Amino acid sequence: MRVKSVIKYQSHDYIKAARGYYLTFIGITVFFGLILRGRGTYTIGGYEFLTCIFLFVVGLSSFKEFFLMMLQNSISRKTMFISKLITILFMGLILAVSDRIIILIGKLLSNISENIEILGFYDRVFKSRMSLLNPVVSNLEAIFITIFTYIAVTLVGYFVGIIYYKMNKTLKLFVSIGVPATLFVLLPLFDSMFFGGNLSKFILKAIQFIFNGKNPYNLLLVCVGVIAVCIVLCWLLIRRAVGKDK
Amino acid sequence: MLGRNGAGKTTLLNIITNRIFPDTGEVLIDGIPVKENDDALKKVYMMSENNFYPAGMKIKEIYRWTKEFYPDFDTEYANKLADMFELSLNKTVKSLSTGYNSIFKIIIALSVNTPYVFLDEPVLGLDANHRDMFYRLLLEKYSESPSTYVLSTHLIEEVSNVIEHIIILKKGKIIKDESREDLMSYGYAVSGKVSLVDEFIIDKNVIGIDSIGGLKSAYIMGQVPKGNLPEGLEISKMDLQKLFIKLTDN
Repeated sequence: MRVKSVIKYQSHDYIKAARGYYLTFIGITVFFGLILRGRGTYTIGGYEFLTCIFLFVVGLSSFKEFFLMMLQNSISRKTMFISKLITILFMGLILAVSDRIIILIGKLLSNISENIEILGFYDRVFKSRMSLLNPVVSNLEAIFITIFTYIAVTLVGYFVGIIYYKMNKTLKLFVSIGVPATLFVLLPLFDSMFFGGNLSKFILKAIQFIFNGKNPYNLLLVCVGVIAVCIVLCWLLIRRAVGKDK
Repeated sequence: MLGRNGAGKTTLLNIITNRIFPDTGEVLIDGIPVKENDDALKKVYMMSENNFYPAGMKIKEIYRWTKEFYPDFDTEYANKLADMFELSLNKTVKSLSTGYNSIFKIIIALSVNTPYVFLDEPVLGLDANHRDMFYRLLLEKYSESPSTYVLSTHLIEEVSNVIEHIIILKKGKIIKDESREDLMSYGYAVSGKVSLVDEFIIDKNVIGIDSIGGLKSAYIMGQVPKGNLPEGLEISKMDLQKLFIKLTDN
């Protein structure tokens, strides 16, 4: 019973955010479509990537406020977490289907007018795979893989959000600067100094493995792995999380 | 629940309501362990000094969601109280003053209709009129539908006439857990002319003295002496605040 109430509360927040996201997207698309009318083509390449960024931010910002509100209403952490997972699953499903519909409408529009072009990330990366299957199956497969991608991205954001909640200000600052600096400065530097560029080659190979144009199931496998790891880590962090002053 | 600053009042309430965890021990509500247990947790509501509600949420939305989590929440009564306190339901939490921040939470606590309601410093920032209104409403609510209301406060004088049972905490330990009547019988107050009171208290354990003009009141630990009192002296009940200071003094 309480799980149902928590899901209702979270869905309300997520739907509000998703509504804002889609309205902004449609608004920007229509705006640029009109501005560039007859003068060029407005292209969005890799549309799902935008949704991934949106979901990461939603996941990132959805912990603190929700957690405190649930503590205020005497909801156990277990119920919070189960409800969160169910909500993320449903959001992944709804957004994956919505995005596929938008991409299909985009394809239809680009056939009618050369003014707007909306291309899906999945359609571009797994172009050769999609050409092998009939349109219905390929779109269903795209939805299926996208659901897992969206869930994984949201959970990664959620995990980062919990870590940030548990950190003090100094640690937050340290991680905010330290992680990008390690990824984009130290890692390439160490790679060229000590590994002769092998680390970069390994990362590149891993990316090629995940986004192998012929086999989307590598991406699915990675997403399932990320989801599993995030679920375990998030639960370990949440089960001992305590209410803190705002 | 009374205690000096840092005695552990808020910590205890936070442990009872599963907001933080105890190092040792277990909290039971009606015999059910409260830790991560929704069946036990739904029986409690805590109005805390800290605000755990979303800052950007409107009060009317908060009431709507409270009803979702506490199905017995009386929205009609909450709206009535909001009118009485002149609280605008369209305001967001972040736009409320300290006093109104307490008021909107007081209203929830009084309307939530759950068996155990914990109020941590409920009258923080409230003016005298609103404090008086709160105490009256609390008594009214208690007489109509009795629940267990636990008040944690520093304003001892104000609550002394509202409470039935007193728990005094000192440095994380319960030092008194008694009915108000029993606790008040620990001592008595004697008042009268300064010279008479001074003479009377010579061999007594005096824990506090108030003087106004030529009159004096002394607060004494122990039983009221048998026999006739010297003329001009009057015996009355112990002052709770004086007793509290005595019991919690280092």
